[in-house]
Amino acid sequence: MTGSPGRAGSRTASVLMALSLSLAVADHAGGAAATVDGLRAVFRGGLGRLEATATRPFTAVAAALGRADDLTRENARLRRRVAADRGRAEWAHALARDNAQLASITGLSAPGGIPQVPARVVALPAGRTGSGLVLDRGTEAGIRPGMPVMAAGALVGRVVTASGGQAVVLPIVDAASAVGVRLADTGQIGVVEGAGLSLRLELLDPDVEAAEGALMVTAGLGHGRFPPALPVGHVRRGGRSVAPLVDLHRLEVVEVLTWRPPE
Amino acid sequence: MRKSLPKECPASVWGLGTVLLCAVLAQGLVAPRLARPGAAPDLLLLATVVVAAGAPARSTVLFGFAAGLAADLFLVTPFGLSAAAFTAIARAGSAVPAPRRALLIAPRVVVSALLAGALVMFAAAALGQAAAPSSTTLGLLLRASVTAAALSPPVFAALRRLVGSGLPG
Repeated sequence: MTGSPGRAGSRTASVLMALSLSLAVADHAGGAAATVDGLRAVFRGGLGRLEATATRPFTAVAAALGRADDLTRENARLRRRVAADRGRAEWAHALARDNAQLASITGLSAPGGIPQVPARVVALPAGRTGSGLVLDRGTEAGIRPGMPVMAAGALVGRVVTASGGQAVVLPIVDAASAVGVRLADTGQIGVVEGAGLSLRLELLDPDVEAAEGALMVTAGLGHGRFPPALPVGHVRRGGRSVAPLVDLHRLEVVEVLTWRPPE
Repeated sequence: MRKSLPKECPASVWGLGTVLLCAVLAQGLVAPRLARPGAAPDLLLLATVVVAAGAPARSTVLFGFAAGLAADLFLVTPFGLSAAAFTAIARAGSAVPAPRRALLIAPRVVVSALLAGALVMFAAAALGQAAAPSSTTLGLLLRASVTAAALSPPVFAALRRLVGSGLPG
């Protein structure tokens, strides 16, 4: 190699930048789209499995510590009973309210009667997992903060900010997101929190184990942020996480429900 | 005089490889939990800027390219745009003197994150894959950059320990 390290760095940088831009143009033109999509899918799938594996020992240790302490166990048992009773009462209340919307669950469609505003998803500024989605429509189209956002009949997130021609959506997989949910078949109430690539599931009654593949829908309780019965995702094996129904990395068009939480 | 690792030092290759692996895992598993609504920090770019503050120019450029390709796997923009932006940031970062204190890496991270983000946004818009950047998107970018900058001093200190004398003391 000849020349100074700085010049070698510049040459290398030039070559690599030219290579990068060639890749980008080829991908944009569709020449490598299938390869890139496959690569991204494998990468995200691997990260998801790694995340599930990494958190499993911690949940096991936490469970072991809980078993070792009688007082804690007794306290937890009482809490579970209270939570279960509360969940059953809320479920009964919600059941009467959203009975008319259950049909839309099976069809994975947005609940009828709520006007929708279609919007196009523009690319993310940083684009990282967990970042907000930016829509190309805003307050001029009637979009307001707090409105639920859906795609392909499933929940995507909620609007957090809106300006004249744009709105930002907090996806349900964002770490700052928490959604009240229930199991569509049994009605068990719980909460799903964003975990980056999936959703972390906490049922109010820890004695209940969600079956793999069970459909989770929004609970729509009381002053919840979402109307009831919006499909959210399917329970993964182990019952501790939920796979969103929508691939948030491939959204192009979404529907904003012009629904506001009850005052 | 800027201190750097010996050009062909195997330890530096292993060290930088370890840094890259950690950055990829952190970006996928940790960054979403650090995000304020709508603004996850770019830990891969953060690693690139920190590495640029101590490693040789050629190693830094290669690291930036690899980190950019990894970043492209998280994105929906054309594959390679982040690699180009990160490579440019790495080259520019390796051309300026390393900061003497860990805290002084933060402004560099903000500027680099803004530049890289803007490069990707404008390039994606030019290719017709995204709308033109707006005040909303630029605001999100700024928040993500500041979050990354806030993380940079401890990351800088940790990498200095990991890579040893390769980063300024």
